[in-house]
Amino acid sequence: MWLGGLGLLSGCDPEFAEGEEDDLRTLSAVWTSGSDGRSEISFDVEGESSFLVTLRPEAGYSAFVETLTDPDGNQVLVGSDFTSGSYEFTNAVYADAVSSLGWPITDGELSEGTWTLGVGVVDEQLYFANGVDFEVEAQLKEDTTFSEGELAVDVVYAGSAVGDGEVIAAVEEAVAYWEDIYADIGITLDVRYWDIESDDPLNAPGVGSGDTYESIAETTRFRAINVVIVDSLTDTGLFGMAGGIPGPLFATGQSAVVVSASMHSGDDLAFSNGEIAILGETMAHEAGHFLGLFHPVESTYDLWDVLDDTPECSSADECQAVLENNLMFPYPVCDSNSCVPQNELSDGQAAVGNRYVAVR
Amino acid sequence: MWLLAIGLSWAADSNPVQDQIWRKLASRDAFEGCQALSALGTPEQVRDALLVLSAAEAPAWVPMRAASCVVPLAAQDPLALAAVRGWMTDPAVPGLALVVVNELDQLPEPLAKELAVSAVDRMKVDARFARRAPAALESSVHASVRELSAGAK
Repeated sequence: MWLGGLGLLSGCDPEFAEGEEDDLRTLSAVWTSGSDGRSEISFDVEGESSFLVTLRPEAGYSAFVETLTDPDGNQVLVGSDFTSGSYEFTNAVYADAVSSLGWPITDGELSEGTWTLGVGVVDEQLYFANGVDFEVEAQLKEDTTFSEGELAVDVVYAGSAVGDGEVIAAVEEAVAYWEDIYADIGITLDVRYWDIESDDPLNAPGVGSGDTYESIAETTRFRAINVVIVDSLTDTGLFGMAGGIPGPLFATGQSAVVVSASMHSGDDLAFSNGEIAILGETMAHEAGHFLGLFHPVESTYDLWDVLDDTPECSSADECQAVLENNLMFPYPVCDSNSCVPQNELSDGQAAVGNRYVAVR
Repeated sequence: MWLLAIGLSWAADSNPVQDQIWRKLASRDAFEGCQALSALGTPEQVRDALLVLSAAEAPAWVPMRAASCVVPLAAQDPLALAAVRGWMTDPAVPGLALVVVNELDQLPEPLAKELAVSAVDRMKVDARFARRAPAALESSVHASVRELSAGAK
C-alpha cells in the first residue's frame, strides 16, 4: 500500500512496507535525505488514535523532526519552538542517532488523513547531510481511551545481574511498587522476566552498547518496554537512563531503559526497604521518560515540561514544596536518612503516558 | 573519628554549598560529573561537602557519587586519601570500596596499586565486594593492578 508521496525535496520517495504486529499497524521504509539534508515523510492515519515514528540514519549521522503537519495543512509541531525555548515537549526535535516522535503528546485528536513529518539529517558536526539513508519505522495504535490501558514490561537481567539472588529479590519487590504507581494512572503492567548474557558493565542506551540493547529488543516482546537491570554501568555515576523521550519501540540501540542495581543498594551493597522503594521509583521514572514524560522542571529551574497541571516553579525550595512527591521530579527529596515517596503523577502526565503506542 | 563527626553534623545543620552539591549528586538521570561541582564552592568546601555526603544515607547513590568525586582528589589531598583508605578496609561500606576500585584509573599507579592490594585483601572476606570488584581490577589501565587481579584468581 502506497502511503508516501509528498517528498518534494527528495524527488523519489520510497514505498512504505505495511504490516501488523501485536495489534499495531506498522510502516517501514528506508528514506534518503534530500539535497539540503531534509526530507518530507508522509503517511496516512486510518482511524488510529496515536502513532510513534522512529528515525534511524546510517552510522555517523543523526536525525531529528523539524515539523509535523496535520491533514489540514496545519503545522502542529515546529521543532525550533522547543530547541530554543523554555519548555520540553519531545526529544525528537534534537538530532540523535535514533529519534522518536509520538503523537499526540498532550491533547487533541489524531485526525484521519495524511500527516507529514519534516525531517533533518545531520553529520557529526551537525551540518545537514544529503544522500544519507535512514530507516523510518512507524507504529500506530487504536485506543478507545487515554485514561487506562496495559503496558508490557520486559525486565531483563544482564551481565552479572543474572542469577544474583539479592538483586532479583529487590527488583521483584520494586516492580510491585512500580505496578502500584502506574495503577494510579490507569496503567496495568504485564511484567515478564528475562536473563540475557551480555558484556559487563554496559554503557547506557544512547551512549554505547548499542548492539546489546538492539539484540535485547529483538529477543523480547515487540510491544513492550525493556527494562535492563545491570550490576553497574560503564559510567559509574549513572544509575538509570531511558533510551529516549519517548523511546523507540522497534529494535535499536536505544530501545531500553537501564537501571544499575549496585547504585541503588548504596554504600553497603545491600538493599534496605527504602532503597527498594527508590529502585521502584527509578524504574517507574525512567519508564515514564520512555513513555514521553519530561521532568516537570529541570534542576536548573529554567526549563519546564509543557503540561498545564504541573506547577511552574523557579527555585529548589519552591519546586520541592509543590512537586516533591511527583514521580518525574528530577531528584528525590530526602533528609539525612530517608526520602519522601515520589509516586504521584498529574492527570496531564497520565494522559501522556497512556498515549504511548505500547500502552494497549 | 573526624569523618564520623562531620557525618553526624550533616543532619543537624546543612550548608548552601553542601545543599547544592547534594542536589547535583541526587539527580535521577544524567550526572554532570565531578567537574561540575567545582563551581559550587572553594576546593576545600567542595571536598568537605563530598566527604560529608559520602556518609549520607539516602538516596543510595549520593554516597556512591560523592565517593567517586573524592577518589580523584586522593593523590593530592591528605583528607581525601585518608577517607579512601578508610573505605577500603571499613566492613560497613563495601559499596564505597567498590567505587574506589572503579575509579583507580584516575590515580597514579603507585597509589592505585596500594589500593588494589587492599581490594584483593577485601575480596577474601567480603562476598558482595568480591562479586563485583574483579571486573574493574581486570580492566585497569595500570599494569600492576591487572597483575594483582590475575594473581588473586
